[in-house]
Amino acid sequence: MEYLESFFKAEDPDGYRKLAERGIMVGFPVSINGKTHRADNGIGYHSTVKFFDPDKDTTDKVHEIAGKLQFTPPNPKNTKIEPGMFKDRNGNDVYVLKLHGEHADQIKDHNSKFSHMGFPAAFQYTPHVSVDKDTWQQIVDSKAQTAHDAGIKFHSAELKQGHTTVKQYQPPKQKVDEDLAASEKFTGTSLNNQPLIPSPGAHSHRTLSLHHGTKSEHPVDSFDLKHQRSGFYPGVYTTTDAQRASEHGRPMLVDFKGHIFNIKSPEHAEALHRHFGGGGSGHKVVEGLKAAGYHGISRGNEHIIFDPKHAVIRKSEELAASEVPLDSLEKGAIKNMATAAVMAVGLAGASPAPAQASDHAKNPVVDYSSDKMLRTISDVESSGGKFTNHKAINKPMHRGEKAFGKYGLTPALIRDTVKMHSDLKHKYKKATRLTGENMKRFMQDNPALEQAVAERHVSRLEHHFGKNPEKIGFGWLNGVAGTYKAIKEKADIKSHWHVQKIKNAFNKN
Amino acid sequence: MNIDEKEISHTEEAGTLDDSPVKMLRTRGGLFICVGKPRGHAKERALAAGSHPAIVKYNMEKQYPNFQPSLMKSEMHSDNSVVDNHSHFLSDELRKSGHDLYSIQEGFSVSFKVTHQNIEKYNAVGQIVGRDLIISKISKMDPSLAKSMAGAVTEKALDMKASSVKVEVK
Repeated sequence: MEYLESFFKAEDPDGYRKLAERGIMVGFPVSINGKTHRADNGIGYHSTVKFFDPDKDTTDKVHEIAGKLQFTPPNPKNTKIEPGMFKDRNGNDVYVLKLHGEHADQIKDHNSKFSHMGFPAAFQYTPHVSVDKDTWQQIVDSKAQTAHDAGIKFHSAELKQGHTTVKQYQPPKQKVDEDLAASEKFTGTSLNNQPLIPSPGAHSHRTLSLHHGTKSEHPVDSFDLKHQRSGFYPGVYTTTDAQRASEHGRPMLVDFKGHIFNIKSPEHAEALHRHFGGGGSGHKVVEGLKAAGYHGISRGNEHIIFDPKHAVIRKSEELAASEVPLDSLEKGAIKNMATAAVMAVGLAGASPAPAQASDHAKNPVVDYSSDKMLRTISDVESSGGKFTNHKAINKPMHRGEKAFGKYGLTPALIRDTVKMHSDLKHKYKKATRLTGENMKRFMQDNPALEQAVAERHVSRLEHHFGKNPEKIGFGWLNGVAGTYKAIKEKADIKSHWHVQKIKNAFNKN
Repeated sequence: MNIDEKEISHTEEAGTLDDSPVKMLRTRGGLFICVGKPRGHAKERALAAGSHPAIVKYNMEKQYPNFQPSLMKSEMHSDNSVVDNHSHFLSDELRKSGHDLYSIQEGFSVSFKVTHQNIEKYNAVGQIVGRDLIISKISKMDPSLAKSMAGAVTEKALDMKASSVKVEVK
């Protein structure tokens, strides 16, 4: 209790010092105008990623997770600062510099990886550096906008227990490029005596299948840079890491063909920035590389495509045609179906699909669209939203709960769909725990969620069974596993009563 | 809503909406109101109201996606408050009659408020101590409201990763 109380006496420098001497922390050491420690309590300046509970967390457990993360020290020139103040529970002022920008977002992302550890969430986590009052005031008076303007530098992340550094985490490229960086010399238009911007050629041409995670709740056919939420360079952000993409939103596969400029290291990026100029963003670098004939840049496994017309979203029937349905995927071994599809493509080497999946690819239904399918389902389930007072479902998995809304979404389906999509889970996490009338009221309060769940589930069924209203209609009632079982047993799906209703409604729509 | 100047005890800048300033007023009666001029309106109007500035800001951000809150300086700032809506635990009748249920977390303290037409009617107050959420104060309320409150407290405790909820009302 005493320990926890002192946690909040952060502007009680002595209390803060005692806390730091016991605590376990992952964070980036910071220096401010060459000074590494606070003048008031001798604690090193740092930007904490996560503070742990030494009574229940151990450095080994922390390192198990931290060792798998990429800790890139924030680039001070690209990190904006916002002086602020928190109040601790005793009313003491805590002086902080809040951090904003791409690397600050990464810090937030890393913090979320440790959400099951540490103390119960007392504050909404914001990346920041705590400073003494005098330093804070100096920075406010200087009107510094970026960490660089304020004389702030970030150093390699560390896992510390008290004053002891247990582990240090070098940024991955930096490990390999440390010597390279020492020898890399930027002189105007050259880097290491090679042209800084070589002409695109065979060496730079790529044909790639990349992953993108979208937060859009609606089907996405093409990208529009107006919807870009963040990122130093303007463009469509993709990655070769499917898991990473799914952490940013609903996963999508994107095909790219063109010239990629590889940024080898932070020093290389710095050289480009100096060459093209551009202040606090990468716009001028992108414009310059575009003028040189490049269509995108790569940084490790991240690929940023400049022009949306070069980022072609792969349609769902192309995904379904290449997938091998595996029971283990349905059981949650893989987080999302797009990842599964990509793995299947990788295993099959993008070779011709199994006969079962290829049937619908060979015989696509004319005049099919996801919107039309949703309208059809709405017509069948509730006469287009007129009759939404659904009966209780007495099957064991539904435990007497009632379906909701115009699409007849079962609470079990709502819970599962929200869990399966990180963007929905981020926004509607409560829905994963609610049941019965509480779930119904939550859905009433969040109408966008009903539409999002319906669209994602149709998309999932299309992914498995293609744009086939009969199979989708059967799947809407019997689930994905139930539909595969029926197909395997060669059941007469077309004659099923629900499928007949779907077919009739589909033809009328 | 017409607000007499004499009823206003405090005014502070709350942010902008469609590039137009938004102010947070506190009335002598303890109600907080955001006023501003949304796009298409020539006159200032009340945009959101509530019994706590954090609730008002929460509702502003929900109702007006273009609302940009500013860093507020005084005790009205509640910049570090975490507001959550738990109204789905209220019965249909209570919801239809204008009741809402919120939690406001400030550091280790959490308060739960049942409001009727934005005026606080009932509350419960708790603190996180160790890994327990301890409720130390609850207004007298009827059993159906108590059940809703229990749902909200449990939901909040889960979000805060507390391992148990205790009621220690003296």
